[in-house]
Amino acid sequence: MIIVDSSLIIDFLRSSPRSLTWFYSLTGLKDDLAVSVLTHTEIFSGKSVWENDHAKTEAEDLFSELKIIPLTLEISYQAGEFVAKTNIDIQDAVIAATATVTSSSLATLNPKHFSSIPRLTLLKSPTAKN
Amino acid sequence: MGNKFSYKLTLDNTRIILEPAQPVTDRDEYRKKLLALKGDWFNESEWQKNRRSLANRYKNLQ
Repeated sequence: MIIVDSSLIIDFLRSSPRSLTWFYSLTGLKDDLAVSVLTHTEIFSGKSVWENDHAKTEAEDLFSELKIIPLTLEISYQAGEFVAKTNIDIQDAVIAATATVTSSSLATLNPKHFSSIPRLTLLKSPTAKN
Repeated sequence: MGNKFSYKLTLDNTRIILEPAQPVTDRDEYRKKLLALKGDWFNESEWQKNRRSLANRYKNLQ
């Protein structure tokens, strides 16, 4: 399974054409794709999502084939340890812990944010510069 | 088999060939849906503001 970081979702939403984004290309793989519930919250925290039905439907469509991984106690413990032992911020720690606890890889456009996390498999963006 | 399974009909000289077509998967439909999104509701500056706000809240607790 691949955990998709918020950065890929944001990149997808602001890009044109969207078919060239990394997130879209991942949807062409057979791997299951998932997001942390935090990423879901981030998208649904936009005021405009709640201002009309069209926006809410589109936001729901965006997540319709993605597994939403809840913040479990096990993920919470792991995220706490990451924050305590590295300089990662809490939001990124939850994303990283979601990936390690579910034995998934993480796709992110901010690999440096996660470089201090042990046993985390980061996918390399097709557009990354070495 | 579900209702997403279909057949491909082709003509080969005098023969009509009926064969299973590639089934349309949920993932295919999802990809079409993604490309059809307008996304005009997404406000990047608001998203950044929310991120900063949460980060600052944690910093202020320290």
